[in-house]
Amino acid sequence: MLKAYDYAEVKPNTTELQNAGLFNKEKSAALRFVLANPSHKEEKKCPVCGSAHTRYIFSRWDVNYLFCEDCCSIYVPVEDELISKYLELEEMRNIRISDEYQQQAELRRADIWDELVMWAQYRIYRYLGKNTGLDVIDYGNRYKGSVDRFRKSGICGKYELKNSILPVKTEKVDKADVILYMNQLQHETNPAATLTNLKDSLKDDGILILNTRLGSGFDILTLKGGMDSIFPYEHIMLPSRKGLEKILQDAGFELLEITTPGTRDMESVLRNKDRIEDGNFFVKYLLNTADKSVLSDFQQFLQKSGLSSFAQVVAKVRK
Amino acid sequence: MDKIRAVIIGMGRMGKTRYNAMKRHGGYEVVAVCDTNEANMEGYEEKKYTDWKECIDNSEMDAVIVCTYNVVIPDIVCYSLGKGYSVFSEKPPGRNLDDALRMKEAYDRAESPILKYGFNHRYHNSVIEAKALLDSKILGDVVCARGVYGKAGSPDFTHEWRNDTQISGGGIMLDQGIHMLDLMYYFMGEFTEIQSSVDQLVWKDMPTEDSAFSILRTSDGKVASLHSSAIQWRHKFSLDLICTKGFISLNGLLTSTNSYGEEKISYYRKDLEQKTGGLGKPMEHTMCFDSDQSWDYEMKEFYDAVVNGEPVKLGTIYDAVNLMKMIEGIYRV
Repeated sequence: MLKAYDYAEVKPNTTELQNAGLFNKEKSAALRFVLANPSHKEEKKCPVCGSAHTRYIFSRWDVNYLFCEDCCSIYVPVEDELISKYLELEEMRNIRISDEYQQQAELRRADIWDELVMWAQYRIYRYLGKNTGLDVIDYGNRYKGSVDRFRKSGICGKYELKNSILPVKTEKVDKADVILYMNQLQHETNPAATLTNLKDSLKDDGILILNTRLGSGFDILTLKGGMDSIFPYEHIMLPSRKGLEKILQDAGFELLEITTPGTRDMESVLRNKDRIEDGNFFVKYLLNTADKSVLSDFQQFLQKSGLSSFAQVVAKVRK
Repeated sequence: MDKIRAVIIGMGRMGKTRYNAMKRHGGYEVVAVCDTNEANMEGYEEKKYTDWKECIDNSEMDAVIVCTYNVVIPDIVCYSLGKGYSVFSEKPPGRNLDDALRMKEAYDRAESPILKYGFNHRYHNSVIEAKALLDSKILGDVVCARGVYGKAGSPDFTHEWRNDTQISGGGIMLDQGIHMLDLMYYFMGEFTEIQSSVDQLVWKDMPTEDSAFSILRTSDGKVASLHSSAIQWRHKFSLDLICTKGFISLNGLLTSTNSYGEEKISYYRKDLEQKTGGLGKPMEHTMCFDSDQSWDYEMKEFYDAVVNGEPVKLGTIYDAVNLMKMIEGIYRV
């Protein structure tokens, strides 16, 4: 397996990925749902590795997040039906398909999407030897700007958008050269089973491109419950890098590469430094004394070492 | 055939490296090893020879793996091809262009020959990535390149066989610089115009050069500069590829000595509108690698050619002749 560490030097991030007002609306909708639909799941075993060695790590809105001592993934024990219901929440859907939401996403994420498409073009060519006219299935993409970019990139011959809230008409793809599974793992109660099912839609020599937030990232392990952008039931599965490898292995995939090119851990921790636990002297010292270039180097170190909170994966079906 | 029965001629460092790669592959059965220095074969259980011709004549096998000094490579390659064996040979393809052409003649005379030369740098992860990036056209077309391949030298440097022209045919350019030249040729095509300065800048009491600067140009106008140096005083590998829409840089190389630094590839797109970063500092992506499978990939390709009838893709006799033509151009100037 090729392991690679991808990192980028970026200008200081001056733009939040979400519009504050819209993000608060999303959180409010989620909070109302969570309060009205508490989880009563008895089974606490880690859904990634099956370990019973788990412990409480933090809670959000009285929902407990657990940490697996064996694979270091973070998760919420929650019933499948509850998650299905959450994903169909009309209030949330209406916020996210609104013009304002999509326009704000375009404004804040355009450069990220451009880079993502270029990265996908490169990695698809790397593993398939071509990157145009391919059959592509995109799972759960909720951003029109992102969908448009992939469709116009030349990568796609046929493009099917599945499990998306977007009212976009696409073609049916029976077997895909490329499956895009972006930011979907965070909703999964049984991620290996879901990825096993994805295999049925992938050609024998096709590739899965997946990205996800990681539970082993610097920002979440530093801020824990103080991390504003993590909330139930939007994020119930935050695998560690090791856990992610296990999920893919259990689902019958061969990992071609896993990188952690997230650029925002330090920024996120810095922004929320008053929420860092009292006992975390090192990080507090670092944030209080380091200059901008040290913080930037630290972020690069996180990326290179697989310690940032965002992972990109390319995998193929194991033969 | 699902196992290649092979003999290895030359059991120095490269012979041992190939032996290990063949064992890891699992599709090879080494039936004999050969070296003029018996000490090099100590610890090996295979049949041992000190005369390469005797080894080839007395072994039942399918392939000959040639890991000897440059001077004997052509003789062994030609003899083996003449006997109908498949041949994998270390670089360089002989000491000079004449040697390479002699092997090409033997190749042309042979019936369904399989001949591959070991240019393992093409199989390094950073090089594989660079090739994919170029072929994908995301960064446009490569128009020029800068390469530096440098060695630290050693206390006995002037007395090494590599610097004995009778045995090696050339100095640092032929021994190590040929890898950089091969990569530039791989990425950009054949260089038809060559200017160079081949010098003994420090090691003056040896017959070969310790430094070779070259400016190379392809027939379609791509330009490259190459510095092959034995006076870098440390190990260094660096190759920049400038493309019409971006830039690729390869730095460091994973080798058995771990002395060329971390192997990595960085790339960025041209960003004159400063969308990804400040002017002069576009968003740059870097990948680093923690393993070198180049020997394994190379022996796999040779296996696939011999057993599965697949064509030799890299390190063909045509590559060998072209490279030696360019090497001769560098030395001639």
